[in-house]
Amino acid sequence: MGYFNDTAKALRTTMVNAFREPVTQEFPLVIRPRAERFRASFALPDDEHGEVACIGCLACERICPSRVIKMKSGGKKDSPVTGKKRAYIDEFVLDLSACIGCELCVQVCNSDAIVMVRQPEVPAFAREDLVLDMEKLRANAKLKTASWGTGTRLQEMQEPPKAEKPAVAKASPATETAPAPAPAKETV
Amino acid sequence: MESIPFGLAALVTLFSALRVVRSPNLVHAALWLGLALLGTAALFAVLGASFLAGVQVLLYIGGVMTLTLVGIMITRRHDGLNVPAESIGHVRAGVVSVALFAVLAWAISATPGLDAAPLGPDATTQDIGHALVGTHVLAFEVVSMLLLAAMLGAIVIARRKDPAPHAVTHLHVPATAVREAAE
Amino acid sequence: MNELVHGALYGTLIATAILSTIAMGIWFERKFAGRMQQRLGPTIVGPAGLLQPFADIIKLLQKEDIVPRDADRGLFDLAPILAVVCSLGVAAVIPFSPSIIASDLDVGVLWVLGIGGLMVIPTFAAGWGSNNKFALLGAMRAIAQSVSYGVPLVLAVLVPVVLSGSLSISGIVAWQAQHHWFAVWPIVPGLPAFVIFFLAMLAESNRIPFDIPEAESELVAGITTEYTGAKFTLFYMAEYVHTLVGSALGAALFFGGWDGPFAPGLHWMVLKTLTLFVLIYWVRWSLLRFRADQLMRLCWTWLTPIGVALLLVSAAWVTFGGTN
Repeated sequence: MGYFNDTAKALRTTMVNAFREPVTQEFPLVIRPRAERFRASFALPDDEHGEVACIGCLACERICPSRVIKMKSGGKKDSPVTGKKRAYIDEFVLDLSACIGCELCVQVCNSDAIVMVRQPEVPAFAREDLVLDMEKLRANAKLKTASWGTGTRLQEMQEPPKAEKPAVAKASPATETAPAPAPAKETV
Repeated sequence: MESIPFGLAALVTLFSALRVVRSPNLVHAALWLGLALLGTAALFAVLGASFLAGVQVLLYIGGVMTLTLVGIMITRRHDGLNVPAESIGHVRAGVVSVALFAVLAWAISATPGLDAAPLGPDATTQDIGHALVGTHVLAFEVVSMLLLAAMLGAIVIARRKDPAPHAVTHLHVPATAVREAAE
Repeated sequence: MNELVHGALYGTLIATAILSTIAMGIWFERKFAGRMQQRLGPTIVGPAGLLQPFADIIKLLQKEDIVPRDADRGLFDLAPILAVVCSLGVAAVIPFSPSIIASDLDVGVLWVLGIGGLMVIPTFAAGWGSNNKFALLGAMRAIAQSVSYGVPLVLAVLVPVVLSGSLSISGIVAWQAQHHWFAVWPIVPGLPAFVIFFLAMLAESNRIPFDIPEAESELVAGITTEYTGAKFTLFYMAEYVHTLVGSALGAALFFGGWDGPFAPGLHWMVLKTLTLFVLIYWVRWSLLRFRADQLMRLCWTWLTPIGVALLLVSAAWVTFGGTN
């Protein structure tokens, strides 16, 4: 008998649903607002002098878990803009097809030279289109909005608290012997 | 005019009947058998016996054919698609077929009243029904008893024979228990 | 000869009508299923996605025709054609109005059951000819199912035959037009017989909840696993034809076919057929699939005994003069 009841229930549910307003949003025609921290592709922004900010320190290439970043340092040269000596980069390739979007490369960058951008990724018709070379990455920096996170900001955010923490700990003498070791371990 | 469809149906029937016996692949033979039976049904239909044609399709193709196919699928061991149909003893089979043909031909020619006019389209299904449960009720009942007996026989043959006290013969001792006892 | 021309003409007409209805039926099913799941269904091709079936068909026909290397080529090619022929063949004896009928056979019910039973052959040919384990398993399940459900189907169809005393479908419809629809009165053999007919028909056309032969989760796609392109389209079409013709048959046998007030017979027949068609899709998108053993238990321990009882009841109804 339970089977008949369940059958009737299933039939009623589907029929009621059939006359409800569909919840579908037709994606390319209707785009729902994206979250503030939404980010997808990458960009290589310029520094304040209008040169590419990357100094080729290889930090991002080393930390990348899926090894999608390949770069070639260009050595130290005199900057044509400021006249000072600084490091340059010859080649920078990021393969989006294998990128897992962990943003670790952004976090380790001390010169804020790689950032993520807030525009959604564009589907590509060929695998080669997903490989971002320097040209594309620099174009991204000009065309798309960068997200909030840059290397220095993220590092600052994740730094262990310094001055205030012992002051708080003094209020409760029981924890004085172990002055909050846990956050210290978290630093990269 | 009527002889054209009749001839066509007869040709199809004969051809597929030949393929049934000549086909080296059992599955193909079974499917050709289906076409032969369908051709027979068409012959019945051309001759105005539509009820017979319907029953032919329903029982022989829907029933016998299907059972044959299921039988082939379930019982045959097959690697790939080739299900060979071995035919042995061509000479003996030929002798038996010729003898059977002779007997049937004699029986048909000896049957009285064959040249009487066909019943024609007036013989409706109702007439057949009345005849079956009226004039020929005894034969009808005998046939149904025969079918019942056949069905019971099939069930008796197919039933698995249980070994009489069936727990004792397969005394199952777990391997771990044996090992523990040994230690 | 006149009859031959009439049959050919009306047969072509009815077949064309059925196939066009199916094109729209595919659109309707996708839309309806979408709404049941609070989706939109097809929207892009044509207004409200109306041209979607044509896009589907063009897509399917464009596809490469792949034949497995070790397939039994003859059977493999023959199966889809036979499937369409068998499912369309049933429509030959169904009256869509007092005059629109391809062939008013005296033994229409036998024709329907016989041709319906022939569906086993394309199923087997496809399953065997593909030389694929999923196809073969699907074929075995489909054959077991259609042989089993053939029994309650025949029993259910026999109820209107006994009640009206006619083996011709147009005769059964005419009888209902004169007296009453069988699904309404006598309600005891009529309505349950219709329910059994409906379930058996769902099983014969492999529709959910009886789609064990092509259960995607276990058998890939059953007998159609190896089929692509046009041949797959034919199988796909045969399934829809089977469903639509089954609905028409149900409407004719139990709901008085073309009988109805205020409107020409054809309108009523189409209305009833489409109602049953919608009912099938409603059931399809609402229920879950049976397990194979549940399927067989339902058939042999419920539908078949009930069918026999209904047949006896209808015989008693006729014998004791309940008709008039």
